[in-house]
Amino acid sequence: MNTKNNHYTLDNVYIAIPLYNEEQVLNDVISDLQKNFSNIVVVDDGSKDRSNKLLRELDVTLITHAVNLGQGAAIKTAFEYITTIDEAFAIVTFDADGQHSTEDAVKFAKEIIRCKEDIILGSRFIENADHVPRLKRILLKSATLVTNFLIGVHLTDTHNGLKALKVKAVKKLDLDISGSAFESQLIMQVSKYKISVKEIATKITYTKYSMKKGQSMRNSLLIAEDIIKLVRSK
Amino acid sequence: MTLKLIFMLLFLFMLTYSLIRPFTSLSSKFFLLMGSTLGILSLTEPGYVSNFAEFLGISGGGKDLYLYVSFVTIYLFIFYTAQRFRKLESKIINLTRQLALESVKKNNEQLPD
Repeated sequence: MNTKNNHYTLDNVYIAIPLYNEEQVLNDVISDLQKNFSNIVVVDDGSKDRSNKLLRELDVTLITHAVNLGQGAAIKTAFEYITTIDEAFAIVTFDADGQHSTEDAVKFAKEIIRCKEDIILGSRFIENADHVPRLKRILLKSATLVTNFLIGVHLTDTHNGLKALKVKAVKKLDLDISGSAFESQLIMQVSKYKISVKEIATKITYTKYSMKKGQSMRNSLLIAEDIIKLVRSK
Repeated sequence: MTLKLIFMLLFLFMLTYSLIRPFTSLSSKFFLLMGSTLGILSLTEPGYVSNFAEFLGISGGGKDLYLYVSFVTIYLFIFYTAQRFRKLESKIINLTRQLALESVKKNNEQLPD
């Protein structure tokens, strides 16, 4: 066990939430997180619904993109903001659609403070893999297989929104993919810059709402295109 | 005859334009120059273009050469347009991000300590 980070607390861990049109769930998601975290950074990625108005009434740091840029771009904006804060030791990325649990976020935050690894990736396939709907499971497993093969890593889930990253590791990354394939780019750079990484089991709650908001089959083709471009430019 | 004259004027304009206009990409200049020259040649001396096509090993003559050059030009146009589109997208992303971050910075400065 690494003891040199022991003076850090959950106050030094910032929650980064990319958000787009989540007026239905954002209040619940954020109020739940606020029970444990004092620093929540929400990037409203050009929402067209009432999300932005609702967020202004909450006690969070709100960064607003004037136009919709994509999940990857929103995460990068949060990273750019948090890495300028001296007190920030680590960042936990959290999806806004309510599929992640606050317990997992706390577990990730405590572990990133405690462990020697620089990045912790969430995995749906270490435990409770049966919770993942069959079609989604096939899709995710295929994406993981392709990413592992092309990048040369051995991970069990490459497209999980729940992650914990030490700020010093985030500063090494140079993410420029604006869509969902930024996850693959992140893994590619983790491998390239030899950043230490480990996986922790997460439990995802698949509701009708989160399934509707999540990656569709057609969107996954766009992610595949981005991955191919990434590998070509490697 | 009138149609021939119109095309001749068009190709001459393209040739002059390709020589005068500053290009950022050399291949664009090359394709405009080559296309307009081939166009002028096809109107004045069609035999030259056919000979040139034959020299390149294109059996169908000048018409086939034009067809191939057109295909290559179209594909290059799509490729460069897509590239330009990506660069533009990247600029928009950076601009939007900087605006968003500046706005938060300003808000934070206005907050009482």
